[in-house]
Parts: sequence; structure tokens; C-alpha cells
Amino acid sequence: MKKYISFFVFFAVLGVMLSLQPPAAVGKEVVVYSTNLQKVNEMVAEDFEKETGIKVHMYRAGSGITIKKIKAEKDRPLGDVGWGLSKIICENNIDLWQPYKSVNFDATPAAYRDPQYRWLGQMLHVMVLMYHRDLVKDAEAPRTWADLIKPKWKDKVAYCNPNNSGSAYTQLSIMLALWGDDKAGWKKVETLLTNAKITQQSSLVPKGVNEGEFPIGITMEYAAHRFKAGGANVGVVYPEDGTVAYTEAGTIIKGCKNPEAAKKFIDFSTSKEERMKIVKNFLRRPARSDIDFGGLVKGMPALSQITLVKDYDRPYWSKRRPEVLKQVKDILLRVK
Amino acid sequence: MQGVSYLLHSFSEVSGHTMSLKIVGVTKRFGDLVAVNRVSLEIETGEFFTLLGPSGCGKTTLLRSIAGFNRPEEGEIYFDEKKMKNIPPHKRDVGMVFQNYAVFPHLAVYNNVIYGLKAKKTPSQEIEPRALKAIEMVRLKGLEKRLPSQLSGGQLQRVAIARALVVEPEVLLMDEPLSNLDAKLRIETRSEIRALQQKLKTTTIYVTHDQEEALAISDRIAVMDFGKIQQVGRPWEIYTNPANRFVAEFIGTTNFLEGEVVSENEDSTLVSVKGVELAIPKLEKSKGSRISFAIRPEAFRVLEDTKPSLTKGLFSLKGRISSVEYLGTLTKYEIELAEGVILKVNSYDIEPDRIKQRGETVEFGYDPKRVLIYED
Amino acid sequence: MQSPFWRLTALLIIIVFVFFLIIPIVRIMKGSFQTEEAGPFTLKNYKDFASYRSYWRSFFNSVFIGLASAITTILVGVPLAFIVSRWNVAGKALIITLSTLPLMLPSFISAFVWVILLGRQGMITHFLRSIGIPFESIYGYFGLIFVFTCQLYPYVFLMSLSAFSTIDESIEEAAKVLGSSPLRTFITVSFPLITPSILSGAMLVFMTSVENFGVPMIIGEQMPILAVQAYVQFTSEIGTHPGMAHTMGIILILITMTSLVVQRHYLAKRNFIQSARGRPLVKGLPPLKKLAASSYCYLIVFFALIPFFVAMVISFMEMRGPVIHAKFSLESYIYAFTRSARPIFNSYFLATVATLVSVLIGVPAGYILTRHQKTAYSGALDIVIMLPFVVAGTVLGIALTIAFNKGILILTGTWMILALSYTIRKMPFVARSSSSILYQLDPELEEASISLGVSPMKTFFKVTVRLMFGGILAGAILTWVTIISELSSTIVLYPPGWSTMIIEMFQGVISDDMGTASAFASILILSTIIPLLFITRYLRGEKTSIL
Repeated sequence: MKKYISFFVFFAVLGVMLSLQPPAAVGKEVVVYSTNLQKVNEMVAEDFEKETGIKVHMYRAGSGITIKKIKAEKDRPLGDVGWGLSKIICENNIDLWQPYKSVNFDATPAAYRDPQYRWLGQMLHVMVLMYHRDLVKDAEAPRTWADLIKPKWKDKVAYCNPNNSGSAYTQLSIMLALWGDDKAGWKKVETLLTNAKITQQSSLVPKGVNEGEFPIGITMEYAAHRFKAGGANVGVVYPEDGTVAYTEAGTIIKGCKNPEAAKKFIDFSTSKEERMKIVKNFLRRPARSDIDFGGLVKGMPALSQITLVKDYDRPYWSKRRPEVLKQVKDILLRVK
Repeated sequence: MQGVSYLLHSFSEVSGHTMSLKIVGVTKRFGDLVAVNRVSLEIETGEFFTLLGPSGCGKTTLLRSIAGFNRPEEGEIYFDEKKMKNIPPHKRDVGMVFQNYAVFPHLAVYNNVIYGLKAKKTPSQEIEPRALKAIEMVRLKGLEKRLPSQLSGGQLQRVAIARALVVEPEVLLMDEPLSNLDAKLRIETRSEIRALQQKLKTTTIYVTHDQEEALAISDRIAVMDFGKIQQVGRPWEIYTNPANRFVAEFIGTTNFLEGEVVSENEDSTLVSVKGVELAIPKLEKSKGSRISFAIRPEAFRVLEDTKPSLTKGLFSLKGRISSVEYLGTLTKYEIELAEGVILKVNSYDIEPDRIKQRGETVEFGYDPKRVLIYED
Repeated sequence: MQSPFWRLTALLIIIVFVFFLIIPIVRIMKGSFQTEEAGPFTLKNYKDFASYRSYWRSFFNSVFIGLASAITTILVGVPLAFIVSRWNVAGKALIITLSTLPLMLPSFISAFVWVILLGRQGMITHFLRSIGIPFESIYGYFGLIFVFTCQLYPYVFLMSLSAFSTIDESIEEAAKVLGSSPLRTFITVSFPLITPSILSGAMLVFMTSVENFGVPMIIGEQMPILAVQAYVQFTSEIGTHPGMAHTMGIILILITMTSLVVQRHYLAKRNFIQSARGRPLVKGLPPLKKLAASSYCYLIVFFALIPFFVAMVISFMEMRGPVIHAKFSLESYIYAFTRSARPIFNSYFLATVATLVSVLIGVPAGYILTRHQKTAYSGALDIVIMLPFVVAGTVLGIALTIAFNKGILILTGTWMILALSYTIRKMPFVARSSSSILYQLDPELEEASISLGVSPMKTFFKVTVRLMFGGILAGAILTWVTIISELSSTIVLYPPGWSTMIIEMFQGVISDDMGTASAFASILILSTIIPLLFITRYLRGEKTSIL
């Protein structure tokens, strides 16, 4: 019996020790809920600690789980910063955020910031097409969104279910903006959804193209370029009929424990130096107007050289989202 | 036998407190099944009392009620005058020996034996001498450090007995303790148990389905069937005078017969069993009334082998031997008197040349007074 | 035995489960009866589910794949168990240990690896095509069943292994004496005798494969699968139909519940209590046959471990961003140890704590289930501990987060909430495995102790627990292993600083960083083999039934 008792005492003591981690002085730590790649998280956390002496705790999950977690903890927030949440998520949960005017607010183009300071654009994801060069010759690769619904690409295009991914929804909204949010436009969308290989996770698209599982994929710029830069035999196309840059934002969670540290983190993560570092290492396009992106990374054009969809009405597509997704779901339930 | 005297010797000083038991109207149900049905018994201090019956008769259930492992719905059990209803099993001062020995496989012999002593907070200086004495008593000296997996069935049984007795329980309960031993060991061990009990005078309740074992070992026996007590008595009472057909059939073998009254003699009644006339003790029964009766095989004598002085007063019969079973100390015959009337007859004549052959016709007889009558 | 101790214990366990599982789950599950438009209660979600063909197909696909996997795992696992238990194949402990490993490798990793090998452009696919075999790819029904079989056969194998080794030899001999050939004896006697165990194993396979979303998400491609749809609905950024996630969750629960009830019903009629007196002898084989039998065993065991070996190879390759290059490199390990050493500690610590607590609660619970059958509290306990089997981890995670973020007991944001969720999810395994061990333990031993004056509670610790030790240990190890690879609730619950190896693996895979993921997978498995091997050896000879 003695043995058992000492055994339990040992674990009880261990448990107490672990739960009583030294209460870091307020302002000496910050908890960041991030949807970014773990290696991005780690680099920024390290740099931030070096710069400010504030310890960063990173929690990484997909954006769906992250926002659910922030909501679940609403009454007693455990996180300080939401990092890498899409602009649409930020806006749809606008009550969860605490306004803060960052020192980098003015350096961020108006399209990528909230005038009431509740969120601030961090990175931009330009929607692109990606193809595997063994399976699709450069000359034959689709150049436009419209090319994707050509019969010859039936079962060749990978596309993530827009119900599962903010970026996939943005891609869909681009096509609807180009083709018209009407019967004719939806007919084309239906053709795309019928012909495409629908994945349930956006990351599976570039990965599958890299492995040759899919000849073509609809994805985000950084995801495609990461593979290209890593030496994969893939090509990247910026659709000639126009694309959109999807905004990933940073926010401070309302009622958080370390608001001062959170503010510093927002400032630091949007600073020019850190942004340039992220661009160089992880090919993520910054939401700042004062960085010459094209010069930094080979093969990635500056934002000004990319054809953007004219009159892309962000508020409209944000509002229209539930109905569009329901329609997509109905189509998918019908055709798959 | 040397073992027994040795046992008696070694335990001569031990004398624990022991007590009488009273069971009043105990009923135990399992769902719809009434396992024990309004059983009342009184067991005297120091008595060796056996519950005997076929499997499923409720004897083990009753024993477990006494131990406290189940709680009867009705009735009361008294140890001396003390009601046991609300006393949990570990607070009842009983020793129990189980059918499958239940020797703790993770403990050595010595540790098995001291298990109860430690639980009962025996002063530490007493533990070792008492344990060693108990181990010696059951002839396991030298095996104290052995693990149960290294012992034979008989040895395990001794460990179980030593473990139960070493705590000097007020009542010793034994649940078919010999059923897993081979025939020879069973007979040997049962006489050891009996001798031990005689010496210690611990009130003992013993459960068995083996009637021979019960007869050999008990002061008194309760025969049970369908949860009810059929008969309580000393071994010879139960054997010679079974209270009903069940007891008669369960204890020993018997010829069970049924017939019609044909006529009355001075000291007997004649009954016709399928045309064969047999004599039974005199009954005041009208002609034609149906009678059930039993005759033990050992009540018969084969007449030609019996001294004339002993054949006096026997009712004689004639029949053809249909089977012979030679058992050494006796020979079992089946004798056909008529179509469908076959009697089991034991002969204790061991002269080889007087053993009858199958097909021979023999004359044999019995004393009508030894016939048991059951009125249905 | 009418000991208040056990009634109290049962009550306590039930209260713990009501408080930590049922109340949080009910709160969140209310959603399945709500929609945004309709009032507080509606069955609209269920009507929707019934009216869409795709939902129906997802339902049938899930059940079909679950059943098919159950059957294939039986075909693989039972003969293997027979060989290992009855013939003197070489290195039994090793076979048993290796066979438990697939349970440990997270299913999303094995799915990724199988795609590398058997995808449309997979290495093996190319090879097969080059030698003229028209192999298409792993995607679809075949691939799903294949991957589940490789990953889940250990459940059937381990359970039938313990059953085979407790069959009374004389029963099989009786059949042979009656003129039955060995094969006939196996089919007509041994197999039916161990069907309850096979069924329990197949049941676990069915439930696990029906609930798994990692594998179908990758290998099912567009095939509608219930678990994938539920997961996606639940974790999508903006649910278009929040109630539907819970509806699908509940339908999943109903499927698994139904299978449990069917299994119970079957077992109730077939309770083959066996005396383990005559344990089967291990038959010595002539050298050639022994070689063949051993090779067969190792072939199966190693085949199922291919994902692990490939992951190990990848972990030593150079990664440039997400792209794997065929050059040797220790980068992934250096990264794993220097930047993320904490998750290694976290995994072991959390799994150990949760396993201990699970054992502490689960063993008494198993005792009550076995020794107090037919009592009201045992029945209640039986139902209560069935629930964690069927609640998806993500759902439980969110439910716990909400329930313990305020009020008297604040656990959200501490490591304890992880330990809590692990305990709730895995304790039933410990309870079931303890219960099956207890079936083989003669109750007379406990009664002997009680009749010697030791109270039922003390008897439990001094006799019962001691005699169950081997089995408890085996159950605990398996629990420990499955906790370490628990992803779905961890991803929701882990507080800052408490990331685990499995989280790092998942992040790696999600971020296309197979290097880190593989490195962690290798560390995880290698560090677990040694204790497993040790314990399997230690337990050999002791009568145990794992699970």
C-alpha cells in the first residue's frame, strides 16, 4: 500500500508543479491563436521574443477550429491574438475583437484594413492555378478561369469544397464575379463543380498537384510557390481574366488577459522588417503597400503586375456567402 | 492413517470458541428461481453437519447465505443467539473452504495461511507459530515457500483447509471441498477432515452431492432437493428409513416398485407387480389399491448360498439373472422375475465358485419388514 | 455482495460522467434539433438528412466501409491469431508487439504514405504499370477498406489471440476424437467458441472506421462519407448549416450505438464461460512448416507497417519547403528536438496521467460491470460508459471547452482539460478490458479473502487487483498508446505550451511538412516499441486478454 501512496503523491506533486507554471508577469507573455504554418509561427515568435522579451505561446489550428475555440472561450478568453484569420471570419464575428489602431495601420492599403480598427490585414493570398508539368505541358496549361470548364480538363482539376475553406469561397466568388451571379454564371459553376475533383481540405490541392495526383489545382499563391521553390516540377498561373487577393488578418481578442502584449504583437507582425522576412522565407505576400514584392522573390510578380478583377465587390460577396454556399452544397449533393 | 494420528496430535492444544447455528425460514430467490425455500435447521455446537443433495438443490446457496455472500429475502440466521442479517461476510467469524480451493495464486503457502491472521489483527508474535502449526497440521511442512502453481490438487486443498482453520473460526463452512480430488485421495482426505473436526470440535457445515461421503463423515445430514429440506437425520436413519421417495432414491440404490394389493396374510400384505407377487409389511388396505414401495438390493439373500438358519421368515422369489457385476467385495445382480420386473440384488458371498452366471435361474428372498412403503 | 462500497463507487463514476460528459454533450447536441429559422425544437435537420441523396449515400458508404473493414480484418486477424497462439512460430513477443504498432500510427499519416505509394502517380503504381498490371490507384472503396484493414486488424488479432489461448484444449480434442479434421474442428468448434471475442474486435474496427475522417478525407476523395461531412460541417469556418453538423454527429452515434446493441444482444445468448484449466498446447512444427508459418506472420505484420517504414525513410530525407528530396538529412530530427522538444514530454506526461486515472476509475468500473451484473447501478454504469465510444472527439473538445471555461471548476486552458478528455474517452476501454479479465477470475478467490475477515474494498486491492495485474497492465499500455495518438479532441483543447507529438504531426502534414511529421512519427513509435516489447514478454505466460 505504501508503494501505491508514494506513487500517487509523486504524481500529485508533479501535477501541481506543472499547473503552477510560474505566473509570468502580466505583459510578459502573449497567447496567439494562429492559422499560419507552424514554421511561420515559430520564426515570428522567436523574433518577437528577441525584440520585446515577451514570451509567445502559439496555438495552431485550422481557421474553423480556431474561431470555434475563440467563441467557446468567449466568457473567459484564453487567447490574446487571433492571427491569420480570414477577413470574412473577422467580419462575421466582429463582436469578438477589441479595436486597436496599430502603428502600421496607415501603411496598410485601405482594402486590407478595418476602418474601425478591429482587424488589420497581415498577408494577402492571391488566387492562382497550379499544374504539374509532367502531366500538363506549359503551352497547354489553362490561362484563365474560363479554361477550367473546358471538357478536356474533366476530372483533371482539383478544387477544395468552398464550404470548408475561406480561400475556396473566394475563388468561387471570383468566378461568379467574372461569369455573373445569375443563371448563366451558375451553370458554368455547376460545370466546374461537376468536372472537378473536390477535396475536403484546401491544403490537399497543391499537395496533390505536386505529387501528380491531380494535373491541375485551384489554390493560393504561396501554397503553389512553396512547392515550386522547393524544387517541385509545377507551374503557377495568375489567371488572365483576373484574380483577387484574399486577406488574412490579425485581431486582438476582446477581454483578453494581455492586451498590451497583444498590441505589440500586432505591431511587430505587421512591421516592414518582419514582413520582408516572412516574404523571403515563406513566400507570403504582405498586406503593405511599401514592400516591393516582385524584387524579393523570383517568379512572384508585384501586386501591380497581377490582373485583379475589376469592381470585385467584397462586402457583397461577404454578405452573399451563406446563400452561395448553400447553393454549392445543393449542387454537390446533386452531382457527386 | 498415520497422517490422521499425527494431525490429532499436533492440534491437541488448539481450541477455539465455537457455536451453534439456527436457520429459521430462510428463502433465497434468484429472479424466478427459488433456490432455497423456507429452510429451517438447527445445528448444534461442535456438530459436523452435512447438506446433501443433487446439483442445483440449493445446498451451496444456503451455505453462502450462512457465510453472508448472499442475502436471503426471508428468514433469519442465528449464530448462537445473534442475528446475522446485517453482518457483512467479512465480519462473520466463519472459515470457508471452497470447491476450487481458492488458494491465492500470487501468494506462497505460508502467506496464504497467514492472510486471515493478519486481517484479524492477530498479535504479530502469534502469527508465525500459529501458521506453522496449521501448516504442519495439514502435512505441508517444508512447502511453506512454494507457490500454489507448484502444488498438487490435494496439497492445494490442504492449504485451503489450513487457511480456514488457522483463524479458529466459530463455524467452518466447506463447499464440496473434495470434488476436485481423485477417488482415492477423496476418501483419504475425508477421513482426515472428519478426524480433525472431531478433535477441534468446530461446528462444521459441509456441502456435498456425494451420498457416500456424507454418510461417512457427518454427525447429521440434511438432504435437500428443489430448495427444500427433504429429511434431516443421522446417517443410518437417513439410509435405513428415508422419509420419501426422493431420499430413498438419492441415498444408495434401491428397487422402486409399484403394484396392486392382492391379499392380506397374518403378518404381511401381498402385492402384485406386473403379475409377480411380492410381500410387504401388513397394511390395512383394500384389495386393488395401488401401493409404492422400495426394497434395498442388500435386503435380498440368494437362498442356496445362505445358511438355512438365516433364511427363516424370508419371502422367496425365483428369477433369471440378466446381468452380473463383480465388484470384489460384493456382486451385483439384476434378476428378471417376469417381463419388465427386474430387481437389483446384492450378494456379499465372495466365494468365486458361487458367483452366478448370466442366464442362470436363482432363488432368492427378503424379509418383508425391510420393505419401505410410500403412499403417493 | 451487498457492499455499500461498490454501490458508492458506481454512483461516483456515474456522477463523474454525468458532470464531465453528459451535461456538456447534451448542451451542445441540442443544436441538432434547432435551425436558425425554426423555433427551439425541430426535426428539420433530420428531414434534410433524409431527403438528400448525397447524405444517404454518405450514410450507406460509411456503414458499408465499416462492415467491409470488419470482415477483412477478421479474415486477416483470426488466422494470424490462430497461428501465433497454437504454433511455435519464431519471435512471438515481437510479432505481438509489432502488430500493435499500426494502432499507434495516426491514420492521416498512413493515408498520406499510401497515396505516395499507391496514388495515381504513386511509386508502386508506376512499378505495377511498368510490368503490365493495369493498376488504377488507391482511391475509392478498395483503398479505404485496404487502409483500414492494415491499420485496424490488430484489434481483431489481439482479441482473438487472447481468446484462442484460453480455449480449453479438451474441447478441441473432443471434436478431434469424434473424427473431425483439424480444419473442421477449427471451423465448427474453435471459431464459434471465440466468436464473442472476434466480434468485440470487429466491433472496434467497425466503430473506428465509421468515425474516422482522416483516411476518407484523403483516400475517399469525393466519395460522401458521414464522418468527413460531420467533421467538415463542424470545423468549417462559417457553417452554412450549424445544426446539420450535430445531426450528422447524432446519426454517427446512432450507427455505433446500434452496432453495440447488436453485439450485446449476440453476446447475451452466447456467454461461453470456459474453464481455463486445460490450456491449449503450443504445437511444434517441422522446420520448413515453421519457417512458412513464421514468414506468413511477419509478412502480414510488416506489410501493415509499411506506412511507418516509409515515414521513417522520409524523416531522414532532405526537405526543401514542402518538397521531399532524395538526400539524407537529419534536419527534421534536429528541428523536432530543438524547436519542439516540449511536445515529446507533453505526449508522454499527458498519456501517463490520463492512463493512470483511467485505470483508477476503469478497473473498479469493470469490476462492477462483471461482479454486480443485473444490479441497477451496474446497468446504469454500463450505459454511461458506452457513451464516450460514440461521441466524436472534436465535439467533446468543444463541449468541454464551453462547460469548463467558467463557473466553479475552470479547466479550460490548463493541461488538466486534456487529461480529462483523454480519461473520459479511454476509460471505457480499461473498464471493458478489466471486465473481460474478471470473467476469467474465479470469484471464490475474493470470497475466500472476505471470509477470512478482509473487507470487500481491501479484498479488491489485495487480491483482485493483484491477480488482474497482467491484464490491467496490458489494457493500460494499449490505452496509453491510443491516447498518444489521439488527435481530434487534442486539437480543440490544447492550451499554449501543451502541444503534443500528434499535434505536431498533424500540423506538419497540414502544412505539407512531411519531414517534421515523419520525424515525430518515428520518435513516437520507436520510443513506444521498447516498453511494449518488454511488457509483451513479461505478460507472456500470464493469462491476459488485452482489451
